[in-house]
Amino acid sequence: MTRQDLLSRTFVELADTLVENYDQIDFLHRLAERCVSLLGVAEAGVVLVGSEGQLRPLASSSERMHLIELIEVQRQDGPCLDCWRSGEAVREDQLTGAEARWPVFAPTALAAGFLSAYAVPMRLRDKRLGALNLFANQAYGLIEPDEAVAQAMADVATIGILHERFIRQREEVSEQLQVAFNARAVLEQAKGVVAAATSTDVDEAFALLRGYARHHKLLLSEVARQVMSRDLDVEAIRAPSGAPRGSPR
Amino acid sequence: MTRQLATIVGSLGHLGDPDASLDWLCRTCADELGMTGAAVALVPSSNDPGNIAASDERASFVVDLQFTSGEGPTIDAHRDGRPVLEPELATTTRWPAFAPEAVAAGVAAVFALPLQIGAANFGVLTFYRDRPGPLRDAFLVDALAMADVACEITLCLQARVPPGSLHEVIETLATERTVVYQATGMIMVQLGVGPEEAIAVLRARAYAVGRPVCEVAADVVSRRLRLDP
Repeated sequence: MTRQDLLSRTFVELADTLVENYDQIDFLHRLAERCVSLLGVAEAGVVLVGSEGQLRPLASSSERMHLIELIEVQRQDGPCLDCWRSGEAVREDQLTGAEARWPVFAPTALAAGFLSAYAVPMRLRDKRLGALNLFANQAYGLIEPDEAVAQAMADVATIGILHERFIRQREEVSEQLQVAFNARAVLEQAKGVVAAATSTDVDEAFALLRGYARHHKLLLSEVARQVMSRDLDVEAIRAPSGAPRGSPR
Repeated sequence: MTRQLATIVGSLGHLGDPDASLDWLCRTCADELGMTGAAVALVPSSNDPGNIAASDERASFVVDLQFTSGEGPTIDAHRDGRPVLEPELATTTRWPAFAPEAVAAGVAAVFALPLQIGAANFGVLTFYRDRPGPLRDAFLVDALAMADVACEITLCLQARVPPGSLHEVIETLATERTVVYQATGMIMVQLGVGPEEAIAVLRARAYAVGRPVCEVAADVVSRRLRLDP
């Protein structure tokens, strides 16, 4: 496969997050691996901000890359932190001599054999997700045209991630709506079942259901569900002790 | 994007009160698409659509009638997850219980679009018109976009309340249904049947006597009425 072919295929894959078996970690690993294949850098890694606001290295092309990213995040020092804070790309073509810029990161990366480091932001307008890190074994390891390619890959991946999150949140809300509505329906139906079976009115039936739930330390919704699925005998609800007795309805 | 949709999307940004936005959407949809009215219904389970917003009484009736008869375009759109377009309700044979009553109420054409997000399909946007005739292609595109907007507003409302509870607009529908669910439970015991058959019996009675399901259900719950097998 030519570089051009791989590049085209990568962009298609990065845009395609709305697949049934989408897995964010797998997706980010592919982004990191393709950066290594396409950009001539030694290693690549993705650091994203979590729901609690902390940056986390989620995918790295190697373990040595992952360890350095962990140190960057923990010690709050390095190109990916600067990139995340500013929302702009960060370049360091010569890590030798960059100790003043990054007192923790620069010596660590040099000791691991990296001589240059780059980070491009993963953001869509004012929505910042994190950064894509690229480390090279030689100085001047990422030429500017390739930095533009890295940024384009980061952009497409960002849109893909945001799109998938948006759809998933909507699906969750839709499911919560259905679950809450159905729970309401099941509770009312259970009141009707208990009222008819015990020849009381629905208010008294509700009191019996609540009494049973409290006595057995169960959720009211769970008791209602059991009544409707006939896992719970209405006679058990009628008995003040809550003990099952009598014949099934 | 057509002019109509541009109007709607343009107005969305100026919505001061999101709680009123579904009613606003129903009225705007109807006006912009040359319809008489529109309603947003939730369909909590297989065939029980219930309105959470409607432009007018008759739009509301179109959906309520389907809850009573257990059939109609809104129910089909939800079940199949695709638009159901009926430009000529007077001549259709699709819904023998629903169509004649809707026509008698002055409903000549009905168009129902599912509210879908991913695989989930939780409601339907239903339009009606008091004259027959198709929904023009350009309008169908807008109507589908409006269904997306209705979907978005509904989920935004629900997203504001914690899991396990329902937004006020949706809670109102659940409360209206309370008596129907209670009656369903009673009929299950009285006739020894499952919930689906119980609600079918209730609907059949309501249909036979020409009264809303809620009223018949209230009679069952208060024991003024006992249904026989």
